[in-house]
Amino acid sequence: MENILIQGTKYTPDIEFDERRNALKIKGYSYPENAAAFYEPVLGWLRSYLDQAHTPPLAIDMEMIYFNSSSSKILLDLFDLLDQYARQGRAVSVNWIYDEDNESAYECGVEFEEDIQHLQFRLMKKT
Amino acid sequence: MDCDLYDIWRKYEEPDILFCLNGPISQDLLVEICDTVAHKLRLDNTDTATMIKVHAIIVELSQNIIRYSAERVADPRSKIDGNELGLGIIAVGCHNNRYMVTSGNLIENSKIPPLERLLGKVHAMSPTEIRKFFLARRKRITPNGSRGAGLGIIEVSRKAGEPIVYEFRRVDKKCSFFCIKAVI
Repeated sequence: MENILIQGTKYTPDIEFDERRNALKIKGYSYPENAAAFYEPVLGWLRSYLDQAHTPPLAIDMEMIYFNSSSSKILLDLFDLLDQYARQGRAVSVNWIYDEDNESAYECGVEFEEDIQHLQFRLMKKT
Repeated sequence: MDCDLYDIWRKYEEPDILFCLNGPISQDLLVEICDTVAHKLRLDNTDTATMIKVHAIIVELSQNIIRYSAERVADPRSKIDGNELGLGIIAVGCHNNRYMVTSGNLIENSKIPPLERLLGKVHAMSPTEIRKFFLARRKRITPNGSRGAGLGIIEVSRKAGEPIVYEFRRVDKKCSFFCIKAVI
């Protein structure tokens, strides 16, 4: 299956799949005008990846510095999707990486975590 | 030519306006506004948490103008037909060491009541209640629903350090001027 690579901009995150680690990295700012359109390929990629029969565990490293309210809605959808796969037994985990100085990023991580039931979700302070 | 800018300049001096822009607002311009303001805040040694809050409020208020301002023009740079820019004012100021972000734009009178209800509701809430309200509403919005459904306004209230101030001033039969201010 094809890897995903979306170059970041000042208002959209870098998105890259690291094949050696089976890790999807999403890092940066997210405040596009149309967040649903921006994240659609990412949700599509995740569905295809997790629908495959034999895949190693998938780790998702998310390091969001800031995201707007419409990105926040889409990220919730993304975690809902991952939570459903996790419930069906797919090995998938999220590392929510935040900078100590960025309290908003930490709080947003806590709020997403509250909604998750099956997915392994770790809040990780950036070292 | 009447040199009216003097009066505007005088007005900006008082509340220490760091940045103000009036006109069509695009996503590209919004990115530049954020860069400019971030640069200024860094020079003032502003802490990261405050910088992120100012950034967040500028984004939500500007995108509100882009999407919902009643005063609109066709986007000359867009490759998509029918793409429009919203016109409005966005200002960032600093007073007694507190940052504030204000925006203003025209709104159709018929669209005021639901917005006013939402603003009134949020205004009366404590920070904990606003947080709960935001999370509940975020969950409820369907992907095909309204583009923002007020989430932006609630987000502004969450990031502000005190209740947001707003006003609707009637311009004519069709429109009013909507102004909103958040102090961080």
